[in-house]
Amino acid sequence: MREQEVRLPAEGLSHGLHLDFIMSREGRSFAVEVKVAREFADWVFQWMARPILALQAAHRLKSWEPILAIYVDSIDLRIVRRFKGQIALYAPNLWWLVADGHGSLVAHLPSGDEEEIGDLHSPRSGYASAKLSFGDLDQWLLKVLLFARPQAAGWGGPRGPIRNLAQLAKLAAVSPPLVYRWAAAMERSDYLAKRMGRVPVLANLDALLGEWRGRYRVSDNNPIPCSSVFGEHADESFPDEFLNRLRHLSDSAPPCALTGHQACRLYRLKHSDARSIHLYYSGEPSVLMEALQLVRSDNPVAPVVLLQPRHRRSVFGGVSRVDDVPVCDILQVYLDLYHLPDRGREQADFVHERILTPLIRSAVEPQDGI
Amino acid sequence: MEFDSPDAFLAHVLWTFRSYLDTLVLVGGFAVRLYEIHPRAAPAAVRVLRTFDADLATPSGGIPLAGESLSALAEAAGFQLDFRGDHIPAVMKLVPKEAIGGAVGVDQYTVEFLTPMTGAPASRSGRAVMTSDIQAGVTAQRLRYLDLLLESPWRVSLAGLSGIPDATTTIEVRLPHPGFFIVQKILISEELNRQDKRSKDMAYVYQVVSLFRRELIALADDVRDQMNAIPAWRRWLERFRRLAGSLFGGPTAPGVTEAHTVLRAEMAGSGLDVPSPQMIHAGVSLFLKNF
Repeated sequence: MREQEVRLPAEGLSHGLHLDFIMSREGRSFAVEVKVAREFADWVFQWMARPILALQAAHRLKSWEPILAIYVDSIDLRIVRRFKGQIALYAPNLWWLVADGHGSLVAHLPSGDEEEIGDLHSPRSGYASAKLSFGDLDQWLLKVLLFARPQAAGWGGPRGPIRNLAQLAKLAAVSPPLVYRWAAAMERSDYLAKRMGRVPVLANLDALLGEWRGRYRVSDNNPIPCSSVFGEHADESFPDEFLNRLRHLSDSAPPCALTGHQACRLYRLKHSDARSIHLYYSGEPSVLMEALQLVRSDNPVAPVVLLQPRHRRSVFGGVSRVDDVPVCDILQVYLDLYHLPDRGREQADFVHERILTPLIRSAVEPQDGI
Repeated sequence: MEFDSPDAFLAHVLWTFRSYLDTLVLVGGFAVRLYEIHPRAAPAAVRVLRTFDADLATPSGGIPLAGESLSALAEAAGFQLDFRGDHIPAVMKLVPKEAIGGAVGVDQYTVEFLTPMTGAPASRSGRAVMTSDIQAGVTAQRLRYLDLLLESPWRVSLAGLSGIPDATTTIEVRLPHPGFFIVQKILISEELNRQDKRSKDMAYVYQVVSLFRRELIALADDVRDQMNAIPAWRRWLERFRRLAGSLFGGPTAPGVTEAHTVLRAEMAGSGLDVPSPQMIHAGVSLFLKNF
């Protein structure tokens, strides 16, 4: 955040133009207006007109990109859909997000569109008392806490000591209040304990993984089945050729990361001869498809599946380069494999045995020197 | 003279004219067949189209004698000159002796010499000049844009072919630069006398792009630079860009549709997946976008 309570002088307005705050991210500046309401109802649209006009004026005057943030007690998906339609019609250049007290989030942001809806029937007693939702933030913080120790394999995300939640927040680049709320939900689910009153240590990891597996399918991500432009996917050499194309993607290509069976090959954990290729991407898929010589396919068992991640931060945050190919963290690979039809469960069990079991054993202990 | 396969026929033709192989360039469908065994080619996912016509390109101005004449070599190898049409000189093909007098069938083995069309396409009297003499008694059909196929040719050894006589495996033959091959196929698509072959040519374009998919950008850059260096070829390059856009501009463009139709017919019953129009469009575009 760069500046709070911003006032821009404007001719004819005695108090100028008021904005809640200005923030910078990846070289871009954003003006943000925050609104809080108990209900998210149709009448809110009328109430949003002034902040939208203020954001648009700031964009004209300062080229700050506009973000409207709305916090409500509980999101009603039907109203959100109408809200989306209204914004698309009246303010198509506006970025926005709607969050509620149950941890649900619907957003249209430069990083992509997100829709994470928690259990709408849970009591309206706030996030702190809610169970873990396994949303993007939950997954990301779990991974950082699990993998941050120096010896953890299969991880390209941040590493460092975590002796308290503030250090976790810093390492994960998540604001501390959100980490405290996450930790409370984790503790209520018996997945987190605090040693010496403050050191966060994961607990019941097998149960946690079981719950995660039960809630997640690789098909939750938006899939694009593809075949190779030249039909060479039937060749023995195709997986190697495909990996070679991934290695030589230009810097301007959209971010992507391999998961599933081919990721296991690169991690030297290949247990089956399954040939399916699963690749997460971000941004415009046609650019990546051209670079990788792919076309959309109607084949239900297409040789290559591009996946637009539902949980972008969790998927891309732990990516590392293995043999010069971007590969998802090993936990993501495990979760994606688990329900794959081509011997995915068998391969996932192999990954669990070789990598996750020792990792889990070490993760329930506090980090070095604590 | 019977051949077990088109490959065996090709080996026989190349063995027959082996003393001229430093001058001749094998073009047409058999060139695509031999691209398949070129070390720089990727494994073919689509079956290469069968062909029975061995087309040998020669530079304009005729071929100096290298020992025996072309006609003597052909005669000794069991070929007979077969003159067809009313052009002067007549269009000449070499056919196995037993095939003479038979119907001009699609599955009949033939050899034909081709040479670039230089000068006027018609005589002062208005008669089309379709052929020119390349040696005494041997004519070649004149074809526009054939010059491109003689430029920077590649070499390939027949050792990669199976089912051919051992002696012929040592032969090395010159093939067109694959980039020029594609450009020439697209340029001649406009020629009125090529309309019966156009669909197959469009399928060849996809197949050659597929075989050299690992180095399409380099091939295109090479061709573009060479064509830009010659004023007449610069005009051809402009024409090529226009034609390529109309033939392969989308999955329903005519070149894509024709290639798909030919490949579907060729691969029927083979158990192989026929490339979809989307695949053909996307594949050929990977090469064309570099122009």
